[in-house]
Amino acid sequence: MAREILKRRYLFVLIATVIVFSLGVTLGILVNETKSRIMEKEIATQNMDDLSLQLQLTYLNFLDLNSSEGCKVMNAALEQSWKNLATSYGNLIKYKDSFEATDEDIRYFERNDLLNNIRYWLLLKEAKTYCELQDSVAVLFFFSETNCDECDSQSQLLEHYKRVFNERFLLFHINMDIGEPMAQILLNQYDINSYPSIVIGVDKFSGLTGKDALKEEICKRFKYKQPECEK
Amino acid sequence: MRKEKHANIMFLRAYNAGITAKSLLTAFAASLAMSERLKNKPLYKVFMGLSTDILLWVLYFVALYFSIFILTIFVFESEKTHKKPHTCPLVSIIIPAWNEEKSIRETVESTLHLNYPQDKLQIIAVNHGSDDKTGKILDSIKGIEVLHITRKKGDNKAVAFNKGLARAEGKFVACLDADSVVSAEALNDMLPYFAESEKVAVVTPSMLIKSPKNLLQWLQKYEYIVSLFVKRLSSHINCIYVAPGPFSLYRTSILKELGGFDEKAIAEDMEIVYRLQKNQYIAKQCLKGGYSYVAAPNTIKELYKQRQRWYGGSLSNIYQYRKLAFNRRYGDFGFFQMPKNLMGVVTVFTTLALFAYFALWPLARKAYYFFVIRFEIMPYLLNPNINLNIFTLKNVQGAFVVLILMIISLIFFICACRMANEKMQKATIPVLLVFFTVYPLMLCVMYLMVAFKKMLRQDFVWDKMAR
Repeated sequence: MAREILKRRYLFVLIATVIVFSLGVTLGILVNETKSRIMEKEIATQNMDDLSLQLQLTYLNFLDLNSSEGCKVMNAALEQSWKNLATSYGNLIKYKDSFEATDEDIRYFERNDLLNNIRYWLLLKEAKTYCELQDSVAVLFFFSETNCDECDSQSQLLEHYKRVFNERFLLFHINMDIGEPMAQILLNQYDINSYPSIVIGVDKFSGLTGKDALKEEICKRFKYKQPECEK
Repeated sequence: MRKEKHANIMFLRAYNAGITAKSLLTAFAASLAMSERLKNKPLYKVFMGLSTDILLWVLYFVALYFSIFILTIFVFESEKTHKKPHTCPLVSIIIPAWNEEKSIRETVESTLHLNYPQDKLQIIAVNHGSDDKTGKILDSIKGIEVLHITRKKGDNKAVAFNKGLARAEGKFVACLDADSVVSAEALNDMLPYFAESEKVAVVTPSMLIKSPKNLLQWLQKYEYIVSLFVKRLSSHINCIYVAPGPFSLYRTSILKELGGFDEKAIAEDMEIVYRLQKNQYIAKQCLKGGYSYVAAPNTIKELYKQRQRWYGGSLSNIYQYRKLAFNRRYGDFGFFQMPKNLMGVVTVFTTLALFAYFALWPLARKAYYFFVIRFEIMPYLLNPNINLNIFTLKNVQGAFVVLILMIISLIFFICACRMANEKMQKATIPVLLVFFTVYPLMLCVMYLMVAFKKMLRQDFVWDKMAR
């Protein structure tokens, strides 16, 4: 004796489930597209920032004078640009973790971010020759996500000091997995042959640089004494 | 000399503990570093990405499907009205008791206070070799039959019940656990369901928790309320799969025909219903009234003992009656309830795996981060860098499905509380927060432990379990 089976009900529920799923998927696609658009916009803003900073530098260079007003404007522009870079990097990290992001998109955004970082680093170096900028320490962090045991720990330590010194500690992530030729040039220039490696000023440190050693090296390079270094 | 020796031992212990802690931390750090390294390997990415994606999507889909299905029962199925029978058939009530001196009197007295002609009630209390005063208490109560039987190691409740069943003369027979009480109108509420068909073999009670006193008991109270609501809905499509010990009412002839309770089953109250379903009988849930009240475990240890029986029995029965699944002969029980029970097991493991992946692992990483910075957490607290924006949203598709699931669950919960006349107060909010977050995880962990025990083929000894 066969018992009753609510065939129509099963079908109805299946359709309802598929509809809810489709709505979810559509929403996911929309959110992902919005994220991509925001990333693109951030890249465009950074490009604009770079262009503006370059123009400012060219102008100061052209006049061949240390204009305090000009430097003040440039300092503010540099600060804003750094904030944009930091926000963009934070978003990129979250974007990498999301389910919807494709590898292709991630690589594209990562490469853009890397180039912007290097460009900013160069601009900063150049700007320092013309202007008295905020006392800060720049660090290049060479790492690999696929072939490095200690990069994560090094990254955690560097992030820690970013929290300690805020905008006075400028951390530039150079991800060597991206395969960017400009990163390779930097790698050769500083003769880096293992990861993690960091470059503070002109000095290179290979392998994991511990918490205390890192603090010492950072503090050494500030022009003026920093309260955080006294602790 | 002795002091020196003691100090040496203490030093050695501390030294060993230090070494163990150091090796554990080193191993933890190494595994984290390796996971970070692996995380970006293409093969690992594909494997982990696919496996977590597939797990998630299957879980979402199945959970959503079953939730919507139950919701349709709630929306489309109407309750039948049951008239009270003109005659009062003889009903036997069997109370198996083993070391229940604290509750047995109250249990028996609740049956004596049933609003039912006393001459139509046969109350059989079975003292199953109690070491305490249960036997004496039972002997002192008038108007009941008391059976004293010896208890062999490993004997379960089914043994005592079957002894009582052999003495039962009623057309219907109820089982009442010795730690439960029954409401006065229960029999009048439950008996009419048998008039629906001669095939109705069991009517299950509306079981609730007897006066909860601590948080754990309150949590169980809500669990029972929700479970009762779902059971009432499942009853509409003949999908009852358990007849709880506190006052399930059976048609005696059918129960005797099937040989009574299985004395080897871990959860005999579940096994009997699977057996009834297999033999094409009908199990009904009392939709209005029919209340019985059960004492809830008041410690986690006691709760685990109870769940060992429930979950261990559930796994055994699912395996034993697996052929009922997707079998047209068993209708919706085969096509809905059996897959639902089976998916319940899968859901438990998937939930735990996902919880470990999405919650425990990030927490471990955070702990590792604090370890790396040697717990200098002030900068972290002063500058946590929490930037909530659209990028914070991960797995929007899944989040949407989870949101729908949460809405359906909330609808069920509100309806279940209304059905049980349970009013929400401000004081219950913290309990509900635990009920919706920690409690399900705790039960999942218990399920996992029981499943491991089963996999290792460890014996489920009745003495170490609880009702």
